[in-house]
Amino acid sequence: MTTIVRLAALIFMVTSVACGSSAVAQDRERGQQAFAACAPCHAPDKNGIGPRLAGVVGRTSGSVEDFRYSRAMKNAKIVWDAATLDAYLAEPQKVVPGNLMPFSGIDDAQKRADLVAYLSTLKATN
Amino acid sequence: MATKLNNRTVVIVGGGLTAALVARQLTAKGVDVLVLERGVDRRKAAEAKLPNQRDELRWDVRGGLGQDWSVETYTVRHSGKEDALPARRLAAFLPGEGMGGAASHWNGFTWRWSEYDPTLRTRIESRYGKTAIPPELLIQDWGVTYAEMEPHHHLFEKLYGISGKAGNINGKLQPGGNPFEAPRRDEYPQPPLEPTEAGLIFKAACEKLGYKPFIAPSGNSSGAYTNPDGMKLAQCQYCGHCEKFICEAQAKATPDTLLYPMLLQRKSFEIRLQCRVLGVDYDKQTKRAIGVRYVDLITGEEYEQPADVVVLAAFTMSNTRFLLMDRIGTPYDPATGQGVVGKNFCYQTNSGMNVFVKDRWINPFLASGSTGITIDEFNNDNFDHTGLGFFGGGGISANLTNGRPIGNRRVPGSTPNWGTQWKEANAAWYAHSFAMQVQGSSYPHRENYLDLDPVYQDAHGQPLVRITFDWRENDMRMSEYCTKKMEEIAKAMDATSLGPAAPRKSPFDTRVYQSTHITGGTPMGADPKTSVVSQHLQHWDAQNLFVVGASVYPHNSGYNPTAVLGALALRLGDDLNSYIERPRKL
Repeated sequence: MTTIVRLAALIFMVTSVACGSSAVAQDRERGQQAFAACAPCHAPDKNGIGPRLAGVVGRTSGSVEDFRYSRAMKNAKIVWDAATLDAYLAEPQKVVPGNLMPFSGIDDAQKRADLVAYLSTLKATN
Repeated sequence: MATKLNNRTVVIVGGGLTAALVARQLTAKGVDVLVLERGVDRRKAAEAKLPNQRDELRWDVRGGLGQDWSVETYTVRHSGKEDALPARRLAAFLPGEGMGGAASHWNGFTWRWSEYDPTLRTRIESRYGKTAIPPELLIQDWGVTYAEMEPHHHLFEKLYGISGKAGNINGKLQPGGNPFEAPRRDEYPQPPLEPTEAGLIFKAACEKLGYKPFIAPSGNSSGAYTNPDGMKLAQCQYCGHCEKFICEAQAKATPDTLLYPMLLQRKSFEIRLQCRVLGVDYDKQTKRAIGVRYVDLITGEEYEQPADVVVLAAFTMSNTRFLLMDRIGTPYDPATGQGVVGKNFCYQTNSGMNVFVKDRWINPFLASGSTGITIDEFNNDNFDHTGLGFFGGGGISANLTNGRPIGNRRVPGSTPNWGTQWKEANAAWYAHSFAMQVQGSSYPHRENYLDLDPVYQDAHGQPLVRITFDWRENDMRMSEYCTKKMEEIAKAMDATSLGPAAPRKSPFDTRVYQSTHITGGTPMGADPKTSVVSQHLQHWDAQNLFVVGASVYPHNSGYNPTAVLGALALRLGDDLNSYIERPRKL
């Protein structure tokens, strides 16, 4: 058992080195698990109940052209980065009052960090 | 002149929960399925999105998601001696309309019924004697056992991601679960929801009295969940807009969230929306259903849709209505007790009472559709009925499902109905009160039945269903007994004050919402003399016609009916796969 764990850790380190930072690789994986809470409404590449999330980091809020946003989100003009996403995911209604995402937020700061790390891997395709 | 269309393998009437589950099993094997639904797909409409989703006046008070009463209603009377009159706006129960049917505006309670429910007559006779059941109570066995349904319950709960705590795994009682639960093979797919403050107060009082309270199994998702079909549920946000609403957060298990989007990807599946079925074409000579007739509600064009197999999966009342209109099977006659169609019409014998607790924050707005704490000590035949003078029982619970501002105005009994004092009482008690409920069984009575109204018609010129129903002696005695038990629990709560504990009494009132749990009319069973469909839901007088829905229940239990519907529909799907391979009497 321990051998497998060590081996896994080794592989993990190797890939982490390749990616440049061990923290990101770790976060991303957990973040992908945390994304299960978002997946019923959000997909990376296509709009569902919520807008598509590929390229969300660096994007201005309410800017996916073929998605119908609330007025609140359209007018918020927030540029999504690690800090703004973290604040938004903690309390969506506090950051953008009146937005229509039916989600009360994530209390766990580590989980939010993981999730943001995962979101930052979703690159816009075009 | 109706246009005749090309033949289809299976045509399902009504696009609700049972249709979707039957279609799931069939299309998995590539069988061609066509569903005809009178309503629309609401997934992208205002009712499924914030902020309109929260419009209590539109969706709740005015019943915006339900059947349009100006097109079709029911006539109602309390006994065969009265003239029935059409209900202009029926509030007692809420037939659905649209893809998902009534299952898209449900609350989420997902009970497997008592293990003995499908063999209720045998159970009562073996426990209380062969002559114990009075002749006016038409209690009968279903022709199926719980053990036969268990695999289908299991699958349904997996598909719906039910949240709960098992009480009985393979016969071994589980702490924290319902000790009266029918044995199940494993835990629920998801852990239970968070209890409400009201639930915790109720739980403490029940424990004080030696009962075993537990958290009810729920279709409101306690977490993020992916079902075996890859369909996803989000975590419930406890927003209190469940029953009578479409969940905008994708957190309520419904056909329109979990089943139809998956079916629409399957090649052999088709749903035609805004197509209202007018009847089943039946050939008396060969005893076969030939197909169905429907009208496209957009164009007004009428069509004949031939099919190898017809499945009636419409609302309880509509299933019965089609069989009566097209004269398939013998209509039930209460005078002679002969005939079957329209028989065993049951409802749900509920009662409730308000509890006011000054120093506890109930915060009723923070709730899901089925966050309830319940006890089952007095449900169904879980207690000894010797000498009680009735059969049946009810689950007693504190199910706080919402704190919506129009419908939730609990004030102590001494409060005037309007004015300053009423307003003050509202402000004082909104956050400090809740209701308890008895959800009681409803047993078939000789005089409770459905037939076609001889006078009144719907907008399409077809006769309305006539409901002859009232609370009869057996169910009223049951309600009195269980309501008293509820009151005892309430008295153990250290409440500031209690509302009256009023048992259910005749007459049946259609103006007050009670529950959409109406059952029967096309009862199932092993004997063609007392049932419309066989234990495999196959019509006794038409081999290729099947009926599924709560209309096949021979009685209603002290539980919500949905899980049993799910199990029966999945079982029918499997049975139909076998029938289509080799058509025969199943």
